[in-house]
Amino acid sequence: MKKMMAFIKKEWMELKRGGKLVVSFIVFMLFAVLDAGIAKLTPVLFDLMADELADQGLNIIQTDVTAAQCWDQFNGNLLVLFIVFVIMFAGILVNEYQKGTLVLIVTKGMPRKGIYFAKLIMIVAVWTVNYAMMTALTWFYGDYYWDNSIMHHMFGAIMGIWLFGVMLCCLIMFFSTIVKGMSGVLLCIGGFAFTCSIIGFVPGVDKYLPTTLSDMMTVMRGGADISIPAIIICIVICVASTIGGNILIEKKVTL
Amino acid sequence: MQDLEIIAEYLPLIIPFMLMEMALLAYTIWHIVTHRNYKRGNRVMWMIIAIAGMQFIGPILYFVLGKEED
Repeated sequence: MKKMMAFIKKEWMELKRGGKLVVSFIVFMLFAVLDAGIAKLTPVLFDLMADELADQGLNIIQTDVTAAQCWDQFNGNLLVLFIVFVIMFAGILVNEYQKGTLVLIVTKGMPRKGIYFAKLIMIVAVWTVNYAMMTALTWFYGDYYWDNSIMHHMFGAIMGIWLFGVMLCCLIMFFSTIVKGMSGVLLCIGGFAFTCSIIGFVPGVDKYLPTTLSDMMTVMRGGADISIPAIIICIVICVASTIGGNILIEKKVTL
Repeated sequence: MQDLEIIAEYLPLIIPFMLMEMALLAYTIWHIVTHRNYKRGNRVMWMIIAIAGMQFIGPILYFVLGKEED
């Protein structure tokens, strides 16, 4: 435990010095402000385009913006945010293989499990803090300009997206124990998302896929309930990948 | 007077934007000043780029193209 705390401290220093903490915080904040900003500017943009659209036979009579538009933007931009997040943190474990810094630490008696969990805790913490800040900011704008009370299942939807992010963190760590480089991790995560979307073509299977948790637009608009099976499967993937990753890192020959 | 009202309406969106730009610019300048070597270019060049393109472009360019790998 003590060794793990020391490693967490080391991770913290690395993220701080590498600038990843600052940059990820700013990116998340930028997304939150953009969500509200674009929703707020929608009527202005439509007004600007009105002449052009009128030429094409489209007449815009009235554009009503509610908190729903703000949260639509929030959901729509999440995909980009997940990609940015994964690219930013995909190298957290594999970069150390390439630099060869783990060999020294392991031979000095640091348990491999400790390394794994320290890194996992660190990225989950970064995700949680940034996501909480982003959601709080969007919530604030939603309440300031419009009214959040028209939205449905807000707490559940927000927690569902958070769970999806945690699953991504677990998968980053799991895939890091299999592949050698950062591109491998990115490819594996991409492959996972691709597989999910392929399976999603089967009618009715949607509610079992963890990827449904990443898009809560219909849930927030009150069109559907949060899918409980997807949440259970998401948690199962988190636990299974963490256990699997721990077994694999113990057996890994070259660190 | 109407312009002022419009600005006041968007102020809650503008302030965090400004804060982010300032924070990123300050961090970039700190990074440039505390590092001796860059992937390409020199200190004066990166300072000019960071300050001239302070609306996110300059700092991003620096961190993508100029920051030395450690």
